[in-house]
Amino acid sequence: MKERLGTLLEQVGRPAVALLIALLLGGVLIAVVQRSLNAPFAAYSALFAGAFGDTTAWANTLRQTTPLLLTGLSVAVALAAGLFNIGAEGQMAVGALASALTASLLPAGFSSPVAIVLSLLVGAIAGGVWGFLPAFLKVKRGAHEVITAILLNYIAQNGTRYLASSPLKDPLGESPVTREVSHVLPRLLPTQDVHFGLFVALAITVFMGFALRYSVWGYRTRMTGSGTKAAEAAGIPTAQMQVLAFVLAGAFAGIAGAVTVLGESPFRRFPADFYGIGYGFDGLAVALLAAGSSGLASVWGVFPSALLFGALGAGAEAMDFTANVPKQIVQVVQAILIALIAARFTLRYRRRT
Amino acid sequence: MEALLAFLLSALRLATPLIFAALGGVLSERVGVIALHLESVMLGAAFASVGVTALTGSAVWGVLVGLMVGGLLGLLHAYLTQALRVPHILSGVALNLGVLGFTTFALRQAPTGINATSLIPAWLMIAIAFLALLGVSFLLYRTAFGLRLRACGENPKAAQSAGLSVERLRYSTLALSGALTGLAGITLGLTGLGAFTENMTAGRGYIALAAVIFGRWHPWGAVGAALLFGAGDALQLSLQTAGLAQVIPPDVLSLLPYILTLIVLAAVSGKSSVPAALGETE
Repeated sequence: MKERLGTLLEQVGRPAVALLIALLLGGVLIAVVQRSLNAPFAAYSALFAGAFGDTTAWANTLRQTTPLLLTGLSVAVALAAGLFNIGAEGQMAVGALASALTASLLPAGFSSPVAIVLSLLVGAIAGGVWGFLPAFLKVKRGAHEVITAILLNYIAQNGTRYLASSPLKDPLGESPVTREVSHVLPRLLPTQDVHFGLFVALAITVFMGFALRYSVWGYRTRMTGSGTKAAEAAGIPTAQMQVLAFVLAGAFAGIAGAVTVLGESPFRRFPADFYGIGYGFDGLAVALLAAGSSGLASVWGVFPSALLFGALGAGAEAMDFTANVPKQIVQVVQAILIALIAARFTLRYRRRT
Repeated sequence: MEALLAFLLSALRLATPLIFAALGGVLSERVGVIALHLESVMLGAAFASVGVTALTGSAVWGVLVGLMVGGLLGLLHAYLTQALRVPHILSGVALNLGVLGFTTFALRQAPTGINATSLIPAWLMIAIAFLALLGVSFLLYRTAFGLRLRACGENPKAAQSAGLSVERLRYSTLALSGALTGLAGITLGLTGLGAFTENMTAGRGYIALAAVIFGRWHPWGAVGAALLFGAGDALQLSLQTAGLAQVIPPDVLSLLPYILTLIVLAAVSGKSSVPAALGETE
C-alpha cells in the first residue's frame, strides 16, 4: 500500500514538477521579450482564468480536451506497439474531411443518430487508411515511420486544401469550405461549444484503456512495443501488430477530426485551412506526458494529460486576447515539457542500471 | 535554351538550402544522432540572421550570429540526446516545436515585422554550398576525424574501447552540423526578400532529412537528392507560371515533391547503409 502510494506520488509528482519548470522558463521568456517583470504574472493569470475561471472557460477547456483525448490515445496506442505517430495531424485532417462530406451528403431527413455514427465511422476509416501507410512501409520496406508520416502530413495538408477549395467547395459560397453538414453533434450546454463528442472520446478512451491492459490483442501489442525480437521469439506476429496499432492510431485521429467538424459550431463544414489546427501535434505531447516517468504508453494517463493540454490551449487563447501575449509561448512551454519528461524517465533508468 | 538555363538556375537556388541542411544531416546521422532537429536549426538560424541583420544593418553580423545559433541548436540536440538520453525523435520534435513557437512569439512582438535591409547574393550561397559538399566529403573520408566520426555511428562501443570519447565526438559533430544547417536558414533568410515570416522553413528540414536517407547517408548522394527535390520544386513553379495552373491546380502540383519523396523512400529503403548505431540512446 505504502509502495503504491509512493509510485502514485511519483507518477503525479514528476510531471507536475516538469510542468512547473516549463511554465517558469516560459515566464522568464515572456519577461525578457516583453521587458517587464509583471508580464509573466499577467499572462499566466489570464491563462488560468481562460482555462478554469468560469463556465465559458471550463466549456472551452473541455471543448479542446475532446479531440486531444483522441489524438493522445492515437499516439499512445502507436507508442504501445513501439512506434511514434507523428502523423496524427494529417490523419485528423483526412478524417475530418471524409466525415464532413458524409454528414453533408446524408439528407437532413435522414435519422440523425445513424448519420452521425456513419460520419464518424467514415472519418475513422479515412484516418485509418492514412495511418496504414507509414506502418506498412515500415514493416515492408524499413522506411522510418516518422519520416513517412511527416510526408503524409504534407500530402494531407495540400490534398485536403485543394479538395476543399476546388472540387468539393460549397458552390453556394465564396469561401473555400465544403458544404454545410446536415447533422451535428448536439451541444452539452446551450450557449457553449462543448459537445457530445466529449462522451464519444471518453467512451473510446476508456474502452481502449481496458483493451490494451486486459485483452490478448493488448498483451501482444505491448509485447511488440517492449521489443520486437523478444515478442517474435514468443510467437507474436510483430509486423501485423505494428500495422494494426498504426491503423487504429489513424482511426482515432480521424475520429478526432470528425467530432471537431461535426461538433464545434465555427466548423460544421470542412475549411481548406483545417490542417494545422494543432490537436494532432498536441496529441504527441499528451501521450508523452501520459507516459510520464515510466516512458511506457499509458492510456489512463491520457485523461489528465488531455485535460491539461485542453486547459493550456483554452487559456492560451484567452491570454493572447486579454493579456496581449502571443499564444505561441504555450508551444515553447510544451516543447520544454516534452524534453523534461523524456529526460526524466531516461535519467531514472540510467541510475538503476 | 534560355528557358532551360533559367530553369536550372531556379532549381539550383531552390536546392541550396536543402543542400546545406542535407549535408548537416549527413554529419549528424553518420555520427549516430537522428537528424530530426534540422527544421528547428534552419528556422532558428533564419530568424537570428534576419533579426541581427535588421538590428545591425550588416549581413555579415547576421551570418555570424546565424551560424552561431545553428551550432548552438545542434549542441542542444546533442546535449538532450547524449547527456539526458532523450530519445532522438522526441528531442527533435521538442526542438522543432519550441523554435517554431519561440520565433512566432518573437515575430508577433515586432509590429512591423522583421526585415533585413542588407542581403547576400544568391550565387555566393550556391558556391558555398558546393564548397561545403567538397569539405564534408573530404572531412568524412579523408581525415582521421571523419573516420572516428563514422566509427561512432557504426559501433560506438568499439570506438569507446579504442579510446575515443563518443560523447565529445558527437558534440563537436553536432555543432558543426548545426552551423552547416544554419547556412540553410541564412540562405532562406538573407537571399530572398529579407523578411522573416512565420514558419518560413515550411518543412524543408524534413525534406532535407529525406534527402539524407535517399542519398544513402553519403554527402554526394544526399546533395544529389537535394538537387532532385530542388528541380521538382522549380518544375512546379515554372509549370505554374507557364499557365498550367489552369490545367493542374497549384495545390496538386505542390504535392509532387512529397509524393516523389514517399515513393523514393518506399523504393530505396532497406537497412543496408543506415549507420548501424543510429538513434541508440544506449
